[in-house]
Amino acid sequence: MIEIEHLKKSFGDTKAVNDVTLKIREGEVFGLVGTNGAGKSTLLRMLTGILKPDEGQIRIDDRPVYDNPVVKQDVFFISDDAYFFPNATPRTMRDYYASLYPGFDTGRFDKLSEGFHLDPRRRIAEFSKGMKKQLMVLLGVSSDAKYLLCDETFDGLDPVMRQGVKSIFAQDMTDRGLVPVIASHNLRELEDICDHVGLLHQGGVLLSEDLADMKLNLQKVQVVFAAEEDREAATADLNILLSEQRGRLWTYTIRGERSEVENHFRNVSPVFFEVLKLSLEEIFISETEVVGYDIRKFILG
Amino acid sequence: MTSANSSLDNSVRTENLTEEKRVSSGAAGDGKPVFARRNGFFKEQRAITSRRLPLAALSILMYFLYDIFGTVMAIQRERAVNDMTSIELAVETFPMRGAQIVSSWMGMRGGVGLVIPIVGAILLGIQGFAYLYRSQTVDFYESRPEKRSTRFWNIVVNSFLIYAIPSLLGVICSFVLTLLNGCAFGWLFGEMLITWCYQTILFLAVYAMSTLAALLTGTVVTAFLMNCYFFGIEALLRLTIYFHRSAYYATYDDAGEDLVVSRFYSLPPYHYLAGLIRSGAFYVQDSGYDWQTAREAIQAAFPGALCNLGIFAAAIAGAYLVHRLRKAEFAGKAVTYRGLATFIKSTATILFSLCAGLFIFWIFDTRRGAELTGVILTIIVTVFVGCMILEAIFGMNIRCALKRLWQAPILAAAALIILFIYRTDAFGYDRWVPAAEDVQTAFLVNPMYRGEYMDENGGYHDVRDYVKDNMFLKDIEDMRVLAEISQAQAVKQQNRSGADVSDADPEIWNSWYATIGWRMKNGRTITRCVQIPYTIDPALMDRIVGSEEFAVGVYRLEGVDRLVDSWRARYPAAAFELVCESEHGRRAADSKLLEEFLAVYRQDVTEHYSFSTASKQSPVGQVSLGTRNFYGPYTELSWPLYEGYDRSLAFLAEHELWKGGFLEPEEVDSVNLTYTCWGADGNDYREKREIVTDPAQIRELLDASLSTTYQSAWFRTDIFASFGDDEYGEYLDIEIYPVRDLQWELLNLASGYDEEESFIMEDRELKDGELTCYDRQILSDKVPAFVRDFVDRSHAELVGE
Repeated sequence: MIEIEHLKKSFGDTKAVNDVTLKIREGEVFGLVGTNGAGKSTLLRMLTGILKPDEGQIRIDDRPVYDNPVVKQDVFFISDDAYFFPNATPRTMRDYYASLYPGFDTGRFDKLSEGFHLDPRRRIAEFSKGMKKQLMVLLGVSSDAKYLLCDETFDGLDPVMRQGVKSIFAQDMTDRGLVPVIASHNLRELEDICDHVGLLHQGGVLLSEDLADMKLNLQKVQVVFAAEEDREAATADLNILLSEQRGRLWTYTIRGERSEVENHFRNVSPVFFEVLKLSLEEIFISETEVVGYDIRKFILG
Repeated sequence: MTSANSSLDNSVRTENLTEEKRVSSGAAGDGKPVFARRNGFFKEQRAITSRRLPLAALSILMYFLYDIFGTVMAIQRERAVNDMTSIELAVETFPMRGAQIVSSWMGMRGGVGLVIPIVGAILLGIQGFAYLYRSQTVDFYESRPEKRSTRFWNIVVNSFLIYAIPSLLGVICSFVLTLLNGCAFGWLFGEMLITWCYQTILFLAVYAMSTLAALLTGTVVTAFLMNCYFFGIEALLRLTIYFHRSAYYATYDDAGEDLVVSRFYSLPPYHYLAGLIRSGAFYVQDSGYDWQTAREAIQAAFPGALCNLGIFAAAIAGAYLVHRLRKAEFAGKAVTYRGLATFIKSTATILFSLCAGLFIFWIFDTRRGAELTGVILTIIVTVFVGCMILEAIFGMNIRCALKRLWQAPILAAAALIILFIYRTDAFGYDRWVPAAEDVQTAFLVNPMYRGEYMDENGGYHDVRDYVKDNMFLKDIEDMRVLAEISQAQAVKQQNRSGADVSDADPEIWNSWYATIGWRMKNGRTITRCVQIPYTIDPALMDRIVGSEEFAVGVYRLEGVDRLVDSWRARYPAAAFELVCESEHGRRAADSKLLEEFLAVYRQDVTEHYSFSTASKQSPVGQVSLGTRNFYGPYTELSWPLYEGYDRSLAFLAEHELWKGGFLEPEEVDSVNLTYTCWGADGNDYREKREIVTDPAQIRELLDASLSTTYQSAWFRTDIFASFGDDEYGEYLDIEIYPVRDLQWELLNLASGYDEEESFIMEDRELKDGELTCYDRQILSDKVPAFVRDFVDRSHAELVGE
C-alpha cells in the first residue's frame, strides 16, 4: 500500500502539491485525475522517488521511497515523456531494465512485443509516440514491479492498444498483485479502468473515493410531475446534488441508495420516473459542484 | 475493470510475492541495491561506457594521436635530421637523441600533453552529469532502483577510466615504439610514467572541479560558463590585485611577481603549470640521464601534484554533497542556487570592471590624475553591462537582462571603493616600513650589479634571487631610514609620472632603482621597489653598501670551487677559466686559481668597497669565470676591480693576468667622436664622425672621461655630460682605439692564435672590423672645448641650422 500524508511540494512560488493525503491500496487501480498543472505528475514523481517532498511523507509498503533502491524495485514509472538511450532498440532497453529489476521477465517482454507488433531490433527513435508508450508499458509490466505509475500513458494509445493494455493490467493484478496508478487529465480515459479515483486540483485533493461507492450512493433520476406542488413535496426530503429542468422533465442527481430513491418516487406517484446509470463524468460533476467547483470548466475533454 | 476480485486475498498474495522476490535477489537485509551484486563493477562500468561512447572514442583517438602517432613522428623527424648530417654520427647519437626527443614529447617538459587531460576532464565532468539538465533524463535516472551515491561514484569512476585507460596504454605503446626504434632507456620509461601520474592527478583535480561546476548548474552552457568561472576567477582576482598594485602602488615589487611559478595558486592547472615550469626533464642535453636532475624534476613538480590531490579530494567531496542535495527540479535552471548566482555575478562583475578600468587607463596611456574619469566611467558601464549579461544567462532569456538591475549600482559602488582603496593607498602600502624588532635581516638589490646567476644545476637566476638568498644585512635601522627616504622618492616619482617633463624637477628623477627586502621574524619576506635619490646621505649608503654582508650578498665569494666542480662533472668537455679583463686585454688562467683569488679579493672588497667608491669610480677591470669548448649554459660570474684593490691587482699581476687598467694617453692611437641625431625632416637618422689623433687632445679627453666598459652599479647618470636630448637620439659616442702594438696583442689574446700565426698576420694591415676599442663617457663638469665645438658644428650641419 502507498500511504501519502500531508504531502507538499513547491517550485518557487508555485505550490505544485499542497497538503495531499491519499492511500493507494493493493488490488485496485488508482486513477489520478486533474487538469494540466494540477499536480498529478509532481505527485507521481514524488511517488517514484524522483522528487523529494518539501513536507509530508510517502511510504510504500511502509518504507520511504526517496533514494531507496529496494523500494524502487517495486515501483516502475512510465513517464509522459519517456526517455530512451540514443540509438536504443526495444531489446537494448529490455536488457537495461533487466539489469535494474531482478524480477524482469525477458521472455514475457519478447512475447508481448511480438503481440503488440513492436520490432525488437528497430530503433526506438523511429517509433511513433504511441509505440513508445506501448513499449514503456511492456517494459513496466515485464519488470515485475508491484506498482506501475503511469503518467498520461493512455493518451497516446489507440482503442485497441488501450484495451490490450487494460487486459494485461487485469491479468497482472490477478496473477501478481499489480497496482496500477494512472494519472490522466481526462476522466473518460479512466472510467472503465479505475477502481478508485483521486481528483487533484491546484495541488490539492478535491476528493478521493471508490468509484463503486460513488456509483452506489449517487442516483440519477428523470421524473415528470403532475404539478409543481407535487414536485416540491416530492423533493423536499431528498439530498439533491444537482437538478435540471427541460420542459416538464426534471433530472435529479440524488445522494442515496438506489432502492431508497426508487421507493421514494414510487410513493409520491409522479407521472413518470426512471433511475438512470451515472457516468464517471456525471459523478464528478455532481460531487465537485457540491464543494463549489465547476468541474466541466477544467476536467472534461 | 473491476476490483471486485482484488482486496484482501490479492493483497496477501502480492505481499508474499514481493517478499519472495526480495529474498531471492538478496537485497532484503543489507539495503544494498540488487543490481550491484548482480552486475558487478565491470558490467556496470561497461554499461555506462556504452552510453558515453563518443567521449570514450575521443579519448582513445586523442591519445592515439598524441602518444602513438606523436612518438612515431618525433622519432622519425629526429632520424631524418640525423640522416641529413652524417651516417656515422646518426648511428652513434641517435638512441640518446631519440630518447630525448620522446622525453620532450611525453615527459615532464611535454607541456602540450596537459591540454588533453584538462579538456577531457572538463568534458567528462559536464557530460557525466548532463542527465540532470533535462527533466526527461532526470525522471529516467532518478526513478531507477539505484542509490544516488552509487550512481555518482559510478560516473566518477567511469570518467576516470575513460581518461586513464587510453592514456596509460598510450604511454606504454609510446615506450614500446621507442624501444622498437632503439631509443628506449629505463629513465625514459620512468619519466613517462611519472609524467602520466602527474597528469592523471591534474585530470582528477580538474575533473572534480568540473563535476562540481556541472552539479551547481542546470544547463550545459552554464556548466561550461561555471567551469570558466572556476578556472578563471582566481586568475582574474590575482590579475586585478597585481594590476592595481602595479598601477597605483609606487613601491610594488612587480618584478617579484610571477603569476604562474612563484605564487601559491589554488586551482589545478596552475599547480601543474608551476610544477612543469619548476621541474625539468630527466636528462641533461647531450649528456643523457642524470639521477640528480630526475630527482629534482620529480621534487619540483611534487608540491603542485600534492595540491592538486587536495583540490581533487575537496572538490569531489563538494560535488558529492551537492549531488546529494541537488533537487530534480533544478533541471534546466541556469544556476541551481540563487545565492550562488548572486555571488558569481558580484565577484565577476567587480573584478572584470576593475580590470576593464585599468585596461582603458593603459590603452590610452592616460597620465595619472587625468585617468580617473575614464576609469570610473568604464567601471560603471562594465558593471551594468556585466550584470545584464549575467542575468540574461541566469534566466536563460534575454528579457531577464533587466532583472535585479538594482544590484548594479551597489556592485559599481563596491568596485569604485576598491579602486579608490588602491588609488589613494588607503592602507599605507607605500608608506609601510617594518618595525626594527620585527625584522630578522634585510637585503638591498641594485639590478645593475649583474644580469643573472647560474646555479650548480645549470638553472638561471636573476640577480635578485641571488641577493635574496645570500645578502643578510643586519643593520636594520639604517635600512629603515633608507626605506623611508627611497619609498617617499618612489611615491614622488609616481605622482609626477606622465607629467610634462619640462615641468619636472630633475631632482625627482635622479635616483637609483632598487629593491629592499625584509626577512621578517614571522617567516615572511616582504619586498618594496624603491627609488634611492642621488641626494641620499653617502654616509648612510656607505654603511650599507660598504658592509661585508652586502659584498657577500652581491658577489659570489664562497663556494665557487664547488660550483665549478659541479659544472665540470656535468659538462666534462668544458674548460673553466679565471678570466681577467681590462682595457689592456683579456687573459685567462685555470679556474682553480679562482678560489685563491677570491680570498684576496674578499679582503679588498671588505676594506675598500663602498658607496662612495662605487658612485665616483669606474672599475678598472674585472675578473670572471669563463669557459672554453663549451656549448652548454652561459655562465656569468664576475668580480669588478677598483683602483684601490691592491691585493687583488698584485695577485693577478703575479700570475701574469694583469697588465694594467685604463689606457694611458700614450697607449692610445686615436679617439673616434661620433655625434648622432635626427635630420631636420625628422625622418633621416644622421651621424658625423671625427677622429682625434692629437696627443694633447687625447690626454684631455681621457682625463675628462670615465670608462663605461665595466660600469659601476652606483653610477650617477647626471655626472655625465649630455649632448642634446637623448630622447630624440642626440648623443655622442667616444671610442678609444689603442696603439697598433697593443691592438695586435689584444687581437691575439682574443683570438687565441699561436705566435707563429700572429707573426704571419703581422705582415698585413689590420682591418676596421678587427680593431679593438673601448667606450667612454665625458663627465659633465669637464667637457673639453674641442668636443663641445665638434658637437655644435655637427649638430648645425646635420640638422641644417
